[in-house]
Amino acid sequence: MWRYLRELWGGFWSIILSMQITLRYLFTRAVTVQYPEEKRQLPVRALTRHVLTIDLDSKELKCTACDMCARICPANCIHLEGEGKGKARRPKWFVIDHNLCMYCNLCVEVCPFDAISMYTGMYELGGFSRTSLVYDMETMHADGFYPTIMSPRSPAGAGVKAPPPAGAGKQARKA
Amino acid sequence: MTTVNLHLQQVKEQTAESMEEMWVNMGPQHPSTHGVLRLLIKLDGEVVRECIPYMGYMHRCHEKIGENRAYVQIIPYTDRLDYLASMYNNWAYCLACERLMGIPIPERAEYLRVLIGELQRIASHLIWLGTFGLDLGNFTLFMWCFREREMILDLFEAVSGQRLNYSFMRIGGLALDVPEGWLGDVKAFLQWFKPRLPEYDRLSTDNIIWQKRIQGVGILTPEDAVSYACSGPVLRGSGIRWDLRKNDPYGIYDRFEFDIPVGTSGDVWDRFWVRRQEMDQSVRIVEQALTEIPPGPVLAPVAKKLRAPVGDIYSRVESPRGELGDYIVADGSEKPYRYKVRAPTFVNLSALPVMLPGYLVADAVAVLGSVDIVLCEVDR
Ligand code: SF4
Ligand code: SF4
Repeated sequence: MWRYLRELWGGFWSIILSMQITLRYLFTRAVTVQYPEEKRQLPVRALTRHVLTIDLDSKELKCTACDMCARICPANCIHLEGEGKGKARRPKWFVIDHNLCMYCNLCVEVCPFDAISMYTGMYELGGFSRTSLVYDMETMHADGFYPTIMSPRSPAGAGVKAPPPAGAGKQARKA
Repeated sequence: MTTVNLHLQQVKEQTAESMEEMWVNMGPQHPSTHGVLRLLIKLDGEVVRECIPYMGYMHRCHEKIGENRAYVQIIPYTDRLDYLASMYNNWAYCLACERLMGIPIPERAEYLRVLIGELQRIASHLIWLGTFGLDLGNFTLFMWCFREREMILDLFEAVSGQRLNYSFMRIGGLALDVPEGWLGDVKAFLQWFKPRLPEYDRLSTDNIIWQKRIQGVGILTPEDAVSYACSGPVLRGSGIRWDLRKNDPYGIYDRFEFDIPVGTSGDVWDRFWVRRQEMDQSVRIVEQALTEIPPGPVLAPVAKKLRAPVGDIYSRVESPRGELGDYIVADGSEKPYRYKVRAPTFVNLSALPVMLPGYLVADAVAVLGSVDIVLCEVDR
C-alpha cells in the first residue's frame, strides 16, 4: 500500500518536474517558420531546380551538347540533342525530367563547361500534371548570373550572391 | 472462480476451441512501426506469445539497380537505404570502392568524413530518441529532438545542398570542401547542443514513468544477440563491447579518443541508454576532429571513368544502427558484377521474435522502437 502511494507520488513528481522544464519554452522564441508567408534563406549550395547557365556577355548558353551530363545521370532523366560541329555545337533541345531527378548534383559536377547549375533557389516546383515537371531548354535558360560549382561567387567577386528569392521561380523565368 | 472466468469457461466448452490465443496483425499501416512493417503477433490475453515480422513491402531492387549502374552512379541510390543516416551509407559504399580500387583519401577528407559521420550519428540518434519518446507518449521530447536534428540538417544543407539524401561523398573523398565558416557553425551548434542533452535526461532518463515503462522489458540475452548476429546499439545494449570503430577501425577512427557505452541486462532501457551515451561520445569525437582538421584537398585525383580490378571486397562500417557492410564483386568493367548490402536493421529486426514473447502487447511498441529500424534499409 505504502509502496503504491510512493510510486504514485513519484510519478506525479516527475510530471511536475518535466512541466517545469517545458514551461520555460513558453517564453522563448519559436524555432519554426510560418512557411508560405515566411521563407528561409537557403544556403548557396541548396540543390534545387536546374538552370542552364549563360555567358553573361553574349547571353548565349554555355552548353555544348557534349552529352556528359546525360550519360552520368543515374536516373537517366536528361535528354538532349546537339547540332553544329566543333565550337559552334549547341543543343537543339535539352530536357530534364524532374519527376525522375534525384538531386544528386552529379550532372553538374561532371559538366566540363560549367554550363549547368543547381544552385538556383527554385524549389517550389509543384504542378498539376507530370508533364509540368519536365523542363525544356527555354524554361531552364538562365536570365542572369547563377552560382555554379566552379564559380560560387558573383562575377564581380564581391562575396556570395544569395540565390534569387525562391518562388520567383518558373513564371519569372518564362517571361 | 469469478463470474467472468466462469463465463469464459462455458464459452470454451461450447466452442470446443481454445479461446486463449489468437493471431493479431500489427501493421502494415500501424503508426508506430516506423514504416511499412507487418508484425504477426500471437496474443494470449494481453501477453505476446509469438511474433513473426513480415518485411519486404518497400523492396526497391537496390542491389539489382546497383549492378546496372557505374560505380559513381550508385552513390545517390545508397542514400535511399537508411535515409536517416545517408552520409553513413555514402561512406560505407565509397569506402568499399576505395578499398577495392586502392584509392588513398586525402587527410582533410578523412577528418571531414569522421566529423560529418558523427554529426550524422547524433542526428540519427536524435530522431530515434524523438520517435521512441513518441511511441511512449512523450511528445515534448519528440519536438525537442527534432529541433536539434533540424540544426544538424541545416549544417548538412550548407555543405551538400540537401537535407536528407545528401549524396555528398565520392569515391576518393568528398564532392566539395565545406564552405567557409562552416566549422565555426559546427562549434556553435555543439555549444547549443551540449546543454540540451541533460535537458533530455531530465525529461526522459530521470522520469520515473519513463523508467518504469522500459526497464526489464524486451530482454535480449547476450547469447541470443550474438547468435542472431545483431550489431550496433542492440548488441551493445546486451553488454557486448563490439564497435567497429574500435574493433575494426576504418577511416581514421583509431586517432580519436572515445568510449563505447555498453548495457548490462539487454532490455529496452539499456538500448536507450547506450544510444543516449553514444551521443555524448559523438560530441567528443566531433570536438577532437574540429581541433585537428588539416587544410588541403578533399578529393583524391580519380579517373572520370572508374574501373575496378577483378576481385571482391567486403567492407563494413559502424553506422548508427550497426554493422553496415557492402559486398562488391568486380569483373573489371565499369559496373559491379554483384553488389550486396548487409543492412544492420534487417538483421536486428530478425531478433525481434526472441525479444517480444512474454511481454505485454503495449510493450511491443517500445521494444520495436528500441530496435531502431528504418524500413527502407530493411527491405532495400
Ligand atoms: S555536360 Fe554541360 S556542356 Fe555537356 S551537355 Fe551537359 S550541360 Fe551541356
Ligand atoms: S541531379 Fe542527378 S538525377 Fe538529377 S539530372 Fe542531375 S544527374 Fe540526373
